[in-house]
Amino acid sequence: MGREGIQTFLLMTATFCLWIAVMPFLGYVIMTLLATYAFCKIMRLEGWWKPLALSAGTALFIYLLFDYWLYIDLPRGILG
Amino acid sequence: MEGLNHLINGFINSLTLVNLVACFIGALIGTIVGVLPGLGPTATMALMLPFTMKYGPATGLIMMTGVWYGAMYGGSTTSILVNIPGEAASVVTCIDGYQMAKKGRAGAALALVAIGSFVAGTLGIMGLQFFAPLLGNAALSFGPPEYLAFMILAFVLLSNLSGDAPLKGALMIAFGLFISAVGINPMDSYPRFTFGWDELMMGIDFLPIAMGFFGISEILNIALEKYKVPEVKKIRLRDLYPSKEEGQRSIYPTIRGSILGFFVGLLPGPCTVISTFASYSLEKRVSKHPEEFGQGAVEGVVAPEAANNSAVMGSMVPLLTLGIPFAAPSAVMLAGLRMHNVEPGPMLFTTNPDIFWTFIAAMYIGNLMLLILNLPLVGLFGKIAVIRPQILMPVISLICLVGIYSVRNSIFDVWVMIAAGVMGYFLRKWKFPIAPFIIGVVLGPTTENSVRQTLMMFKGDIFLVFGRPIAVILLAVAMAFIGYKLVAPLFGKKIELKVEEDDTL
Repeated sequence: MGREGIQTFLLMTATFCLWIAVMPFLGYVIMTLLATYAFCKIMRLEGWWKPLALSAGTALFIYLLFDYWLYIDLPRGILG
Repeated sequence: MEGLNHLINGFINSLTLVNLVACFIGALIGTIVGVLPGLGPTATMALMLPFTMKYGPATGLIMMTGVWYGAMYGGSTTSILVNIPGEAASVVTCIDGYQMAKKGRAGAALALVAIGSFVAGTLGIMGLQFFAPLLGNAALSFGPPEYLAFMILAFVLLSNLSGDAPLKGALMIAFGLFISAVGINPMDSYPRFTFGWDELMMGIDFLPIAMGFFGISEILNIALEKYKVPEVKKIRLRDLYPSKEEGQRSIYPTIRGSILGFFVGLLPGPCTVISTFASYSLEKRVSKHPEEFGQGAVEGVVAPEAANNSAVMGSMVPLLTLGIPFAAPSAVMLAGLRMHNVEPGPMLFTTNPDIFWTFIAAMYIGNLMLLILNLPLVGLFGKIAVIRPQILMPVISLICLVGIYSVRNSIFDVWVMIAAGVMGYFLRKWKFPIAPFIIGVVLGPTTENSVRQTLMMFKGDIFLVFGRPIAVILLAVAMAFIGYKLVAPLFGKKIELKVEEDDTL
């Protein structure tokens, strides 16, 4: 795997675990924004506006898909 | 004639807006997934299960099969245009497909593959329509001992046909069966392997495991790989017309591939992958110009692609008639049907005939839809193939996380998915086949039931099995196969059907 590979692997796994552990408290929208940004950065997507736009898009997409269309009651956390 | 009536009814049922839209979405998503390297049909189907819950079982089945054979279509696009197989069943297509693209015949290759896949899919559905009720009727006389014997045979074949070593396959099946045993014992309601965890009392759900092994581990795998920018050949619409010679040369390979693929689909194992390899070598053998293979022979592109489409249909036969999935995608399908409280098996044709016939009719329609969808949009799909993984993987990761949580509103399931993903990553690295594990998990409860019922029927007398000829024959075939595998190396013979299981299946 190499040093860089191990680092990427651990960071990815850690992000997954953090999302699961914190999601019930902060809500899925905020955690999705944060996690997408983190994944982009871990996979070395350069710049700041691309990752940001991508995470905003992902959060909106997931909201529309699961909340708006499928009526699934996801934890909203502090956004109530 | 009864079948025809059923089929007409099926067409009437499937021509509802919901079913048509489901079919279209399934086929479209399947094609996109097939084009994208990484996310394979199994993970996608597992992800889509919660969405199918919104509608009936037939609609769900239609959507998921659409994904599966859509992926078979899509996989060929990247193989030909970019020389990167979108999924495992298209590895063979790269050999001659990319050579054709280099000669500027990419458009013709794509068009012939699309038509060939359509023909193969249609022939496959005809086969399914014909064989499934027949086999279903025969299976009606199956008791627990026959089921058990059949399952043992399936496990033996499965461990031999997938992965690089039979032992690894067998270990993975055993591990899958073990995972399915976690939870409350169905006989005496005593918790097994729960370690006092409340979450484990309900057992480990199939979906998070499938998502982890096929989704998360693939994401990790791609995140760790170095990314190379692929080069895409441009396609214009008028390039799509194949020359007369190319058309004539691909008629028989298409038909041969379809028939071969359907029967390979009946076998346990990664049938779509095996079918492509088998039909490629068949074409090479029967061809008058075997030297052209590898240099862009149209037969070497069309036949395998036809084969993998009809293999999908072939593998629906054991799933629908016996309730036994032989490949990872059909294992997901079984889980999906169970979520709708439909248990596929010989009884399906008597209790839920409309599901079967609606499904058959929808497949005919879906196949046509794919043909219409694929030809004009080839250029678009070619563009999708070059989306960078840095953009794709974060989005897919989040959809996996939220998606698996939404199935049972359970955080525990998400943990299971991540654990399975990390484990799956290492198992793949060490060349353990994943599909036998998934099939073991999904077949665990059925296997356990038939073992228990058989033991109760026989009351400790193993010789009672000789009163059941079907069971004896199935067990004898299993034993003969093991015996052959043990003896064959001594005589220096090689068994050809073995194919390295690729991870994306």
